[in-house]
Amino acid sequence: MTANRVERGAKKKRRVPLAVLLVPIALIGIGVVLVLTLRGGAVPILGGGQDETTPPFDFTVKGVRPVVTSTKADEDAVSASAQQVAEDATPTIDDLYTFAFLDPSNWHAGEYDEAFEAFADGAKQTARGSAEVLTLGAGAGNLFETVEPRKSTLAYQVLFDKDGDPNTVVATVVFRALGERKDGTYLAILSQGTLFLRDVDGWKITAFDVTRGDAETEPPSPSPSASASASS
Amino acid sequence: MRTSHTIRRRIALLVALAVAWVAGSTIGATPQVRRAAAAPLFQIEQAHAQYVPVLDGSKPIFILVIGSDARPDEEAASTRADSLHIVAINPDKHKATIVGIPRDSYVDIPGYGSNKINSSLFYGGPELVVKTVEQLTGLRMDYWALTGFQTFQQMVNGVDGLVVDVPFAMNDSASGAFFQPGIQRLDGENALAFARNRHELPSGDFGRSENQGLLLVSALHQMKKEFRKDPNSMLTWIASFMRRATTTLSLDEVVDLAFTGTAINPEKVVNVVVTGSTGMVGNMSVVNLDQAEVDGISNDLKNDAILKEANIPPSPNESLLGG
Repeated sequence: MTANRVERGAKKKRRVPLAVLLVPIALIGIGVVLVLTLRGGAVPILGGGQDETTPPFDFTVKGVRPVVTSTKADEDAVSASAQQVAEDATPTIDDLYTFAFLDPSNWHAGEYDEAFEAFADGAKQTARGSAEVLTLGAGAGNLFETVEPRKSTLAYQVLFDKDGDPNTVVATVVFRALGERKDGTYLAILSQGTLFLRDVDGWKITAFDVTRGDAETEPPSPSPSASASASS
Repeated sequence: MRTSHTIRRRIALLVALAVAWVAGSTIGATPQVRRAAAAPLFQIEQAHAQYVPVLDGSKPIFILVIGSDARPDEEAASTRADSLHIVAINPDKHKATIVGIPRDSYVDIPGYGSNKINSSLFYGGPELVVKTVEQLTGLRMDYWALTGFQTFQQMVNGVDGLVVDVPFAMNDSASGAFFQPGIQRLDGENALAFARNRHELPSGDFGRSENQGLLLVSALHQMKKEFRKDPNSMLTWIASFMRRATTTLSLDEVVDLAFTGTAINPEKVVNVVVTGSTGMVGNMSVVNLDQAEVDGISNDLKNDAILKEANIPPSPNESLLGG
């Protein structure tokens, strides 16, 4: 018995301690998490999510011009009404671009269903068919590390009927964003064009003419605001 | 021995830690690089997406465009219809046909007996003109639009003039039409003069009617061109029309038609004038239409708004066009 105990004891002493096996495994995991967290990337092994925080974004409205179809239109009234229409229609366009370019949960997955809610039924199908132009694209999740909005503008024309009610809104859109690719290069994202909106259960896009003009760009120079947005 | 074992275990642990850190860092970093490398190249190029809600369906749309001879102080709807054009649109096939009806056409005006078709406006306003044209052609007009001299000029000025390819030289003091042939921008006054000129045309009112149709085609051409350049411009066209024309078209319908217009190739719009012989009824100079030709054109247009080659009458301005 004693000899066996001694033998077992001797054998035990020769084994690699359990801690030596478990600690490295745990550390490998911690290492993965730390590296990915510091890089802001995905944690696929542990099943965690990427940073899904959508950067805040609003278009800057540059101008609103009423277009009247009556020779007796009350200019002050239509001007005020046009401003109100612009206020009402802007969230539709803010949402479109937020969901199409800025919401990481959309572009990570390459799915932009929420963006197409901005379109009226008649235009939706064509919009979906033009997803590569109207959104960041199906493969954006594999390409981009971050996408941050840059100054983007809207200008409106509001067409009024003879009774002074708004009929059609034409929005001239210039949307800019900066995409940081996973290889460290940067892309200046530009979407510009014209959106026609009509009031169909809220202002929805019924027609569009949009061009993408993305271009390679240099990394942004460090600035207080840039660092703040990078860390968010 | 115990000390030696302890040292070896600690060294092993440190090595394991180092390996773990390096391994963890590598595992964490590598997949991203690989994914980025494996991702398709991002195409940096101009990409374009467009959608305009063009009216669909095979049912043609017929609009009667009426130009009255109302002077600035006159009500357009109670004067004479000096310009009559059926604009037939096939939204499905993006085609259109314009059929001019000479103002002196001697026809039956419902409720008023036979008279020149232009008097139907005086007798019963645009609605009676529509009834008269419908009875003459068998085509049902979906809408009508009416302008007078002044409103026509204002409409043209509202879009900064019309670019017209004037087909031949004009030198007519009665209308004020003095033009060299070729592409030129006509302001409201000159566009009206171009539309009114008939005295020097060999076929008189027939030729004038064709020129009026040409103005409609020119307007389509220009609206489309400007829309391509800046879609915002469409509102200018719509507003200019709605401000100056009297029409049964609602603003929604005008917007829809304007979009539809952008899909129509103006080069392929067929612009014809029905033919007939001139004659006298009492002391009144009239046009006796070729009813067989009118019927042929109407029947051809009825289902698809497209005029077959065989039913296209010769241009009344043929001799001036050098054809």
